[in-house]
Amino acid sequence: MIKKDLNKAVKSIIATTFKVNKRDITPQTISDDVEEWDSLGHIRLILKIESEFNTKFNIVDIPKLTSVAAIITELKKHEYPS
Amino acid sequence: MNIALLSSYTTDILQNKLESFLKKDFNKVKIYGNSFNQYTQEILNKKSAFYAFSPEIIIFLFSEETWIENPTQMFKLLQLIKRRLPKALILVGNIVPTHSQLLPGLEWNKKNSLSEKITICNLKLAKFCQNNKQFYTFDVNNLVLLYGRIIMFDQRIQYLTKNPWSDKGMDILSFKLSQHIKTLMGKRKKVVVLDLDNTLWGGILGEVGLENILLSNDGVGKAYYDFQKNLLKLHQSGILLVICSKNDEVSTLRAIETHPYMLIKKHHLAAWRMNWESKADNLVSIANELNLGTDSFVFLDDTAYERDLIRFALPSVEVPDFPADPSEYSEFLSNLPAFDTGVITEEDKKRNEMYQQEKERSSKKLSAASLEKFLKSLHIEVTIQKVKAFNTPRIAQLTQKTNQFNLTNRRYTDEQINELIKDKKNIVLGISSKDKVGDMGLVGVIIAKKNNNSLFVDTFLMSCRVLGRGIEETVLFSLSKYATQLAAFSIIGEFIPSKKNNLAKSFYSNNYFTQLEDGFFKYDVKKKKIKKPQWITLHYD
Repeated sequence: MIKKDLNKAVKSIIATTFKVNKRDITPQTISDDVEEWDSLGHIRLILKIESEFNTKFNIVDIPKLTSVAAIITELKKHEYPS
Repeated sequence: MNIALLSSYTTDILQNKLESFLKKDFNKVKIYGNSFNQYTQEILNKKSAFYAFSPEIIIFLFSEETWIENPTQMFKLLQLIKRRLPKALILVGNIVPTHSQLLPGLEWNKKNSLSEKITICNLKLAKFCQNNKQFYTFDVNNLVLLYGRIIMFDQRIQYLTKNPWSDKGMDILSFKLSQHIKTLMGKRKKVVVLDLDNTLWGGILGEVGLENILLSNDGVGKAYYDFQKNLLKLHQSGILLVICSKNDEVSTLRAIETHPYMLIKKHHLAAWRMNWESKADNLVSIANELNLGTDSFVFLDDTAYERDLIRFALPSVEVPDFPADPSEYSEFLSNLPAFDTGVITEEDKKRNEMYQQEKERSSKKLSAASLEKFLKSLHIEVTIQKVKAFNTPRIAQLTQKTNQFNLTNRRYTDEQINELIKDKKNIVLGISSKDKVGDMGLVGVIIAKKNNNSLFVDTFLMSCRVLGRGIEETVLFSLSKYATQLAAFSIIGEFIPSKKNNLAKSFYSNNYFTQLEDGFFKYDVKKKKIKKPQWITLHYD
């Protein structure tokens, strides 16, 4: 998967999980920018990403994945090494 | 509908999932979850948000620690809810070890182990629910047994959110809960519609005969026998059994009544249709006869075509994917969520008696237009091939073993077919078919002979699994084209009745042939009455 698609997929999962517009999510978006992205919302998001990408994050990393950029960097380590 | 989910762990995600499962069937679903670790206060305090919510259904899911540490307290809480909310229905999840155990091999070999405590507590809980009318055990244990701890639990979520279940585990749990709630609210499926050939027994009765169907109390036949045994258990729990199959009614009913290992007998059936009509039509007529909506039906059939037809024509009928392997039938039925329930209502128990008496049969046909739309969506392709020397064995074999849609039942050997194709006046055709679901391979054989000014159809046979989709009409259409090519003015068809080919009896007269004497039929080629069904793509090879 090329970088652009990975970006797009993550953005779209964030948008549907928190019911916001896809266009409002940018690579710079962090959890504080999104109203529903609180601690519980974070777990919901992580579970959705895991099932969508068929992967599993390490518990130590999960609390750090609070930005689009961090999620993408982590996903690349898992399934999509550049 | 107000549902309270009381738990010792966080249930926010579980609530979301449960709500989305219930939304399909109920208009207003509201779910209340207690504040974390506040359940005791909320149950004790008469003025708490929990009572203010006035739940109709309460789900009680507690971790093993909570129960094991103070079972007396837990039962007291249940008693209190019972007193304060006498009309609520309460599902109590039994206890399952959510943490991995240290030295699991020792568990049952030492006194007062966690396993022992949990078992005792679950037993008490089951007894409590049996003795208190509004309480039902929700068997969490069985779910974990079925799917396994590795799938059901996720320690990461436990550490991060104080909830033991994995994402998948919550899906399973909330789906099962939603099924129980539907049953409690009277939305349990009421009817299971069953196919016969390769569903209740192995093989095609009309082809192989009563002695040769797979159904016995040992070997492969036992898979079908056990499936029937489970169906009878469903019947005892109040589910109506109905047969809808493409078979000859008289001989099939005889088979059902006389086969020694046929467990499901006529008197277990609320209704049956054994004919060659569309199953969609038959289901509508059964629904009318039973005075039930098709939304209370579950349709079990080994043939993908029939399942797709019902999904298309009657979307309210539940049509699960039926396993291809008969050894999986029983387990499949046990896990079919449509029937699984924590409760059997009085109405369930009585339902079978109600339908014991035979009812008048009424019917409303699936309109020709909507059937055509379905057939169009299948993208059926028919290939008609002049038989060549290399594929004669398959053609001969089909003439040997096809009994039902076989108009003359003439049997040929490989050598005889080879002789036939050498003569230019003979047409020997192999019919193959495929659609978007799959390739059905060779499905029919035609042998026709030019005789003076007419084309005599010596053999016309089709595999009965492809009948009723316009393929046999397409073949007849191409036969009329061959007749024109050979300058024949008429086609002469013949029907020789046998014990098994009754369904082909009216084939020619339904397709513009005029009946002559002695089982012969004549079609005037010039009139060009026979048309190719427009949803079929025809190829000549």
